[in-house]
Amino acid sequence: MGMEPTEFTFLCRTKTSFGKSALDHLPFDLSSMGAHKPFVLQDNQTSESHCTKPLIQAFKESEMTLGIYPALDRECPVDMETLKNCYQLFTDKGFDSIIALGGKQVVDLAKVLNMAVSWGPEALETSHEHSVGAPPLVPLAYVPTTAGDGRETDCSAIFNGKRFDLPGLAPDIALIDQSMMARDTLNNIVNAALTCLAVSCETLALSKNPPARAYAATAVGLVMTPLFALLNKDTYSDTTIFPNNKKDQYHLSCLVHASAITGYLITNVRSLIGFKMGNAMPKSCFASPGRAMLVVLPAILEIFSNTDSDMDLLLLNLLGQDAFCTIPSSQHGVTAIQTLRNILNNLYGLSKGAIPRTLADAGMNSGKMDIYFKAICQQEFDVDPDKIKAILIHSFDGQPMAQG
Amino acid sequence: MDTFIEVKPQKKIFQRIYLSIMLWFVGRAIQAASRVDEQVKNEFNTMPDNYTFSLGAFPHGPYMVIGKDDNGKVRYLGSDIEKQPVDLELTLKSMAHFFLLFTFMESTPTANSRDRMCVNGDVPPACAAVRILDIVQVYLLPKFIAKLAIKRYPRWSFKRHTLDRALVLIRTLIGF
Repeated sequence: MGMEPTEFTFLCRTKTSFGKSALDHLPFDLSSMGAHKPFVLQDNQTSESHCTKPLIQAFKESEMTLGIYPALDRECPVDMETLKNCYQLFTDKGFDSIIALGGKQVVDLAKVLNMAVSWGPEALETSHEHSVGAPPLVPLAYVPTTAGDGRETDCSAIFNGKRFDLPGLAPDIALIDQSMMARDTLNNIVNAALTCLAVSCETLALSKNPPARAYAATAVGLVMTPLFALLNKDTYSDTTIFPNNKKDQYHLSCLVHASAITGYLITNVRSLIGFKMGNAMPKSCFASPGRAMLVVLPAILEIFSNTDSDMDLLLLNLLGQDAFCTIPSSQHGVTAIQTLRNILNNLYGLSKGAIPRTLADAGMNSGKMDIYFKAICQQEFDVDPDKIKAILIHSFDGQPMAQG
Repeated sequence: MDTFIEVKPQKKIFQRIYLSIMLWFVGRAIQAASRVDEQVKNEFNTMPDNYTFSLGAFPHGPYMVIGKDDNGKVRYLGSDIEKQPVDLELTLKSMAHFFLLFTFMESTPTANSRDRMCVNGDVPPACAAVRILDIVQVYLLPKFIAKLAIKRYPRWSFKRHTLDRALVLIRTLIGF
């Protein structure tokens, strides 16, 4: 394993609990942080799947009163009025902690509410002043009910078009319990899984942060089996609803766990090129960010594999120990990239073309490449723009770099 | 759900009654085993005099308190943790976890590995207490159930399996 760690920082504020009775840990965990009256936020998908029932069950005998806010509409952005209502209820009724039940929208509201109740409502205007020496935020527990894009467990929140990025915003607890898995479309689940796979693979290959790479290795393991198990159905459709049975529920909980890890990686590995490129994908292209991230990943690895990379660990995690041992060490880099391309091909076949192999498959027009390139360059990149352009060109039709 | 609701904490009556009965029985069985079984006696000998430990669920029990007096005699001190100072608290993080443990759906080592238990006190006596609990469970439960409750079913002598077990059961029932 070639890469030597130089200097790194790794901070994961979030305690992850995973398993069948993980939810029963929540009253104890909140109590150990001095919280005794949690305020619960949820979205309509969570409400329709009756996910509050197991939560209420878990808080029996806990001596804690739960305040459950009406379900938020998942399709509509949260407005200032909702935040004001939550703030009023939270302060009037003496709540002291927040439980976010659902996905990205709920977590964003929970993070912003946390800032407002801990530092005062004016903190939303002057959040940059609270990065150092600010009083602690109230405990925030995140109970995911479906796989997200990883932003849920990172240190950022987007509210009303404004982005907040503070180290304390990450949830204190991420609790993944099988009984809390809500029904969601396969499209959303696959997008989350591909985001996680792309971020983890890039971290494994290009990051010099050993704890981040350990997390990434775990995430790759968590994604690979459930992703193919969910896709390996006779009738693939983006609108298929999962989970349908206990096995699907378990697979989904593994993907949710991987999503939580993705958030830890995004926080600690700031130079994720694929992640930034995926999120800058123009709306004219039908690939979701997760799909785009995986499409551009082979080209990214090809460009950066000669300078700063460790393909051994990536290959080991993608193929498993037995297959890894059969490959000569001199071919690890090439085989790792080829394996990623094979995964893309398999996903394309299993999804009947819904998961693209190339940017062309994703509906990108070669004429709009420059617009896309400009959108990417607007982000903070410490990479030569020529390399970004080369990645785009080679990802357009999936042509390996070696072929020119 | 269209309006804000507050859910007051409810009780799990059945689980509380079941666990209270089990703890009462196990507590008296520990007292009995400390007089009959050499291994249990040795485990208690490693604990200082006037040492008490409890086993219970967060946040309000039920509990079982066991104490060793000045003369080295072990006693089941009831279910009230407030009555006397407790040197070692073995606490399951919720009553649901405690119920899993005492319905033998999960063994003690499994519960421990799943982070369901926390210890407030010294670790060596906590390990001794868990070993005592394991021995007592072997005495009290039929083999097929005891196998679910402990890590490995022990190979005991015939006397220990029959005579000692009978003595522990009788002493447990009469509380002596």
